[in-house]
Amino acid sequence: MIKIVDLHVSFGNNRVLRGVNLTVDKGETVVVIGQSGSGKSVLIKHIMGLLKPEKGEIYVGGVEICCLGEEAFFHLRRRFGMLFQGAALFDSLTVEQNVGFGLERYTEFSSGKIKETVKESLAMVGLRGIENLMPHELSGGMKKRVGLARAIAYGPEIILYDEPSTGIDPIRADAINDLIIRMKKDLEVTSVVITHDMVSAYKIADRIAMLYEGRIIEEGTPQEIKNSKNEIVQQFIHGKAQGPITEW
Amino acid sequence: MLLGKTLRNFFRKPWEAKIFLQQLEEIGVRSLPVVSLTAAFGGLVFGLQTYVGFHRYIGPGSEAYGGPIISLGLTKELIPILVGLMVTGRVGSSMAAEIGTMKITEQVDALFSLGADPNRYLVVPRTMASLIMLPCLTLYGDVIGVAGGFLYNIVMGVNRFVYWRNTLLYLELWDIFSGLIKAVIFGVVIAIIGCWQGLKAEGGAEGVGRATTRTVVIASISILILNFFLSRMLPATLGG
Repeated sequence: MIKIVDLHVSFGNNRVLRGVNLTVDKGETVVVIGQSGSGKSVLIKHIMGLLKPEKGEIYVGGVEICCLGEEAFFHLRRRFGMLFQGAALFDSLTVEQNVGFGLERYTEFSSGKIKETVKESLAMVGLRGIENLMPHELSGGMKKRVGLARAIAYGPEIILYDEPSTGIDPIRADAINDLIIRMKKDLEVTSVVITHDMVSAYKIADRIAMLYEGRIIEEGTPQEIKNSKNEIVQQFIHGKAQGPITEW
Repeated sequence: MLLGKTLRNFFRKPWEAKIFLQQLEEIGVRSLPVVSLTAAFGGLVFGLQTYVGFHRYIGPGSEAYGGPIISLGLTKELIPILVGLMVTGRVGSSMAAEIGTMKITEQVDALFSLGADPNRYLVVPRTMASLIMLPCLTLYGDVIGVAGGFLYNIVMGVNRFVYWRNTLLYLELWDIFSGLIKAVIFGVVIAIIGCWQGLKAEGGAEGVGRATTRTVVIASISILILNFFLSRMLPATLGG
C-alpha cells in the first residue's frame, strides 16, 4: 500500500532522513518509534505529500506521489486521513465545522448527512454534545480526539497518526488504541502511527520500526522488537537514560 | 509565484464565498473609522497648506483657485497612499499574524490534508476582497478628504461658489479614476505580502511577530515606491 524507497530529507545542514526504506501493506498498522526530533513527523508528512522529498521515492497504491498533477493529488489525498501532533483544529471554526471540513470537500453528502456523520465520528472518539464549541473551549485531550474524529470522518483508506495518545489520560489513550484496532479490523484501514508510548505501540502494531539517525535501524513484530539484540532499541523501549544513545 | 498562482485561482472553482464575504467586512467595513479619520485630517491639512500657499504667493482672494489642486492632490496621490498605509497596518499585519499562526500550528497542513488548497482557501479570498475594498475605501476617502479641504477653506472665508466652480472645471473624472487604479494595485500588494509572509512564518510566536513586522515594512515601502512609478506611467489627463 505504502512503499518508501531511500528517502533523504535535509533542512539546511540538518540531514533529518538519510535513506529511509519502509513498506506498509494494505490493512496493516505500522508504528514508527524514535527519539523526539528524529524525523518521524517529517516522515509521515512526506507520505501525505505535505513535503517534497529531496531524494528517494514514495509510492502509494503503486503510484509514485511526487510527480502527480494537482487533480490526481487531490484524489490521492482523499484516501488519507491525518491526525496531527497538536490536533491542528481550525481556530475560526466550530467543532462541527472542523469535523465536517473534509466531508464537505471529499463527499457529495447533504448538510443533514454531514451533521449526522460528524456526530457519529465524535461519538466514536467518546465525545458528545460539543458540536457548537470552538477549539479554544476544549481541553488538550478533547482537541486531540476532535482531530481524530476529523481524520476518520470521511472514511479514508489510510490514516496517519502523529502521536495519538500524547496529552490524553491513560484510559482515553487506551480507548484510542482500541479505536485504531477497530478501524483496522472493521474497515481494513492501513495505519502509520508515530508514538513514544510503548504500551500503545505493543498493543496496536502489526510491525514496529525504529527510526534513529535518519534511518530505520530495526523493524519487526512487537515481540521481535522486545527481543531485539540492538542496544539502541533496548535503551529506547525501556526508556533508560544510560546506554548507547547519549544525545537527548 | 504566489501572485501568479493566486491570480490563476481567481477563476477556478470552488470559491470560498463565506471567507470572501468575511474578508470584505474585515478589510472594508471595519477600516471605515480609520480611513474616515485619516482622510478627514489629510484633507484638512492639504486645504490649510494650499490656502496658505495661495494667500502668501499669489495674494489674498486667490485662495479659491486652490480647490482643483486640493482635489487633484488628494484623489490622485494622498488618499490612495493613506488608505494603502492604513489598510497595511490594520489588515495586512493581521493577515500575516493569522496565517502565520495557522502555519506554525499545522492548520495549513491540515487544510491541505482535508482537500482544501491553502492558496484557494486563504490567499484568494483575501486578495480578491482586498482588491475590491481598497478602491471602495479610496473613493470614500476621496469624498471625506475633498470635503475636509473644502471645509477648511470655507471656514477661512473663501468664496464657496468660486471654489467649487474651479474644482469642477479643472478636476477630471480620470483624476479620481487613476487613484482608484492605484488602490486596486495596492490592494493586491497588501494581501499578497501579508499572506506570503504568513505562509512562510516559522519558529513559533517570534516567527509570527517577524512576519507581521515584515508585512508592514515591505508593503508600506512597496506602496510608496509603486505610487511614484504608477504616477509616472498613468497619463496625467485623458483630456488630450
